[in-house]
Amino acid sequence: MDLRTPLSGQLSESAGASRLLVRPSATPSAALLRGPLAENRSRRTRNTMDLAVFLLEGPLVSLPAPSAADPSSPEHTSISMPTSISAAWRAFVTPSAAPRAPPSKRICDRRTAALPASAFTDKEVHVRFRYPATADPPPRLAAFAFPESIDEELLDQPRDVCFCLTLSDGSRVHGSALQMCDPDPAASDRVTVRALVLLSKWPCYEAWKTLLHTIFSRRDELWPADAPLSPSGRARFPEASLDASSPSLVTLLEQTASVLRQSGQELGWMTTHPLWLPTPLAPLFRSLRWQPAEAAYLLTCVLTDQRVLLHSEDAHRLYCSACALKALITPLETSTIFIPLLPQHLMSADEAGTLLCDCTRPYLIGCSTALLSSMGRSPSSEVVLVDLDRGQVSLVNCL
Amino acid sequence: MDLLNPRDLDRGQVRRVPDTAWFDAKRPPFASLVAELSQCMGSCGLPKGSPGGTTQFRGLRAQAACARFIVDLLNPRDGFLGQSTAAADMDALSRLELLQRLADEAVARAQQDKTRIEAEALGVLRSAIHLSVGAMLAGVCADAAERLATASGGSSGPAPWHAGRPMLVDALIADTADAREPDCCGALAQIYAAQPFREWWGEPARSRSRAPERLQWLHFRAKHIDLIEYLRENHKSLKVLERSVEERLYAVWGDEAEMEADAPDAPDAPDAEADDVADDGEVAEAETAQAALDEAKAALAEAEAALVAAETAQATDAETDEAKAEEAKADDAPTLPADDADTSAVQGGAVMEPPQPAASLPPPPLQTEVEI
Repeated sequence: MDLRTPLSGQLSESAGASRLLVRPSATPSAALLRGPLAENRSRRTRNTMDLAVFLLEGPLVSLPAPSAADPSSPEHTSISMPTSISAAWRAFVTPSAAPRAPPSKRICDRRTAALPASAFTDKEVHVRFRYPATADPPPRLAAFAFPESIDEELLDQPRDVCFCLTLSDGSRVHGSALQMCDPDPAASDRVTVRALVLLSKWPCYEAWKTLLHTIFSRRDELWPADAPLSPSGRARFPEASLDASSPSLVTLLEQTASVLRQSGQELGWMTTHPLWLPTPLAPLFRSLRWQPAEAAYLLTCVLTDQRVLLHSEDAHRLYCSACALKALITPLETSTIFIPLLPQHLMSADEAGTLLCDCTRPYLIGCSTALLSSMGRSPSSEVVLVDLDRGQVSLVNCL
Repeated sequence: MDLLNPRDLDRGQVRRVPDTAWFDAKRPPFASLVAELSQCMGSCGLPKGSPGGTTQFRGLRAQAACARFIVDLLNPRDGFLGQSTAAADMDALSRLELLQRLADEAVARAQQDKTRIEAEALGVLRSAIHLSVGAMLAGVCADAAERLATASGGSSGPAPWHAGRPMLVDALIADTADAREPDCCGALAQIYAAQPFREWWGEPARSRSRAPERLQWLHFRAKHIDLIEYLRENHKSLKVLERSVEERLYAVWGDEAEMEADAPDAPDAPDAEADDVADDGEVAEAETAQAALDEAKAALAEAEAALVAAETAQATDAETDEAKAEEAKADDAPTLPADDADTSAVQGGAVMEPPQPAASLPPPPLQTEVEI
C-alpha cells in the first residue's frame, strides 16, 4: 500500500489553495501574475526574502466626525502626582488604599471608520519605499498590511500585525507590518493609511517588530520618503520626491540583511527545531478561556483533519492562536490548508464564503469576525468554529 | 445553510462538529491531556477574586503536556495502547504486534533470498511493508473498538468483552484486561487514519525538523528523560541562540536599550521556572507586578534595617574611637585619627548613601510569565 500518492496530491492541493490567497482570480492583478511577469516578480521577491521592506501608502480616507468630550469624564479629572523622587518611591512602595482614577488616555472615544475595499487593491496602493531596490511586493500585500478599519487610536500610535504568505512555490514568507494613520496636511478630517511592511523567510516576529519600531522611532533621520508623519519630518525632507529613498535606511537594512545572511545557519537550526515556538501559547489558551478540554479538542481536530476556523476581532490573537495550534502537534505536521490570518479584503465575500464554507479539504484558517459576518452565511456544521474573542466587542453593529 | 447568528460570535466558544462525537475529554486518551493542561492553567481560569492563589499560566508545561500526548500517540507499544489495560486496547495492541512480526519476518525472508532480490528492491520492500503496517493501524484499532461495542451490546457499562471474541485474543489478555476501564483505541483509530500521522509514519525522515538528534524526547520513557526538564533545557538553548542573533541585529540597529531590556536572567537564578516559556507574555501581569512590588518592599525593608545598623555601628565606632584616642593619648602612642576610623566604618557599611531603590530592586521581570 503506497500512501505517498494521495498525500503528495494533498500537498499540492494545499499549496494551490494557499495560492488563492495571494492570487485571487477575480482581481485584475491575477491575470498579470499568471504570465512570465508573475514568475519574474515572484522570483525577485523570493530571492530577497532574507529581508524585504516596503512602505505602502493607501488613498486618503475620511474620518467620522468626533463626538463631544465630556468634561466630567475621568480623563479630565486631575490626578495628584508626587513631586519628588522619594515621594514617588514611597507612593509606589506603599500605595494608598483610596482608589485611584485610571490613567488618562489621549483618545478615549474610539471613532472607527472601515476602509473601503478599493483601498486594498494594488492599483490604489503606492510603494513609497522598497528594499532591495529591485524587489516587488507580493500582490495584494496591502490586504494583509493595512488595517481593516481606522480609529483615532491608530492616529495616536502605530499598530503591529503579523501575517504569513504562501508563495507560488509553496514556501512561506513571514510578514510583520507597522500600521500607521497620518492626518492629511490639507484636510484635517482626512487621513492617509500607511504600512511599513517587512517580509522575511525567518519567523522572528519580535525582532522584526523591534526593527520596524526602531525605524519608526528614528523616522526623522531614517524615513524613506516625504511621508508627512510629523512636522519635523516634513521640515527635514521638504524637497524629497515621493519615490526617493533614504540612504541611511538603506544602509541600516543592508547591514541587517548582512547579519541575517551570516546568521542563516543559526536561524535555520532554531526555526526548524521541533520544540521551538514561533508564537507564544498564552493567547490561544486565553482565547479558550483557559479551558483545557477545549484546547485538547482543538488539538485533536488538527490531528484528525478537521476544518478548523478561528475568528476574532484581533489579528494578533488570531495569528498567535493559529500558529500555536499548529506548533503544538510537533513533531507531526499538518500539510492541510493553513492560513493563520485571512484578511477581510483579500477576496470578495463570495470567494471567502466559497473557501470557508464550501471547501471540502481540511484547513486551519484564522479570519476576522467581520469577514465571517460579511459572508452572509455561516460555515456548515462540519466546520469547527472557534470564537477567540471574549465578548468585549458587540458585533450587532457590524452586522 | 443556517444564517449566522450574531449573538453567538463573541462568547469564546468552540463549536464541535458531529464528526468528532467520539471525542470525550473525560475518557482516555484525552483525559490525561486535559488533566495535565488543567495543572498548567494556574489561577487564570478562575474568576477574579476567587481563592486559589495567584499562580499563572505555565506555557512550558502546557507544551510538555501536548508533547507527551503526541509521543504516546506515536508509540503504540509504550504509549496509550501499551499502557492501557482495557480489553479492546490490549486486543488492538496484540494484533499490531502480530502485524509487526509478520512484517519483520517478510523483510527477513527477503533478506535471506539475496540471490533474487537486490538491495535496492529490498529497501523498497521494507518501506512498503512499513507503510502497510501504518495504514493498518487505524483499521486494527477501529475493529477492536467496534468489536468491544458489539460484544457489550452498545451499553456503556462493564461489558463481557471476551464474548464472541476471535481467537487472536489470547488468554493473557483475558486474565489481565480490565473490563471496566474505558478503551482509547476508538479515538486512536481516528488519529491514526488522519493525514498528520500517516505522513509521519510514512516518511518520518522527510520533514525538515525530524533530525534524529532533535527527537530523542520521542522516547523519553525508554531513555528516562524528564520531558519538562528536557523542554526547559531546549528552550534555554534556543533562547541563547536567538539572543545571540538578536544582539548582532541590535548592534546594527543601535538599540542598546533593547538589548539591556532583553538581557537573560542569570542561569543559576533561584526561580528556575522563570524560563518557563519566556514568550508567553501578558499573562497575569498584575501578579507579576505584585511580585515585583513585594520584592521591592523587601528590599526597602532590608535597606532601612541596614541603615539603622550602620547608624548604630557608626555611633559605636565613634565611641570606640574616642575611647581609643583617649587611651592612646594616655599611652602617648601614635593613633589613628577618628575621621579615618569613621570613614572606614562608612566604607565597610556602605550605607551612608540614601536608600537606592532602583539599585536594590531586582531587575525588571523580563519574562512576563513567571511560575509561582
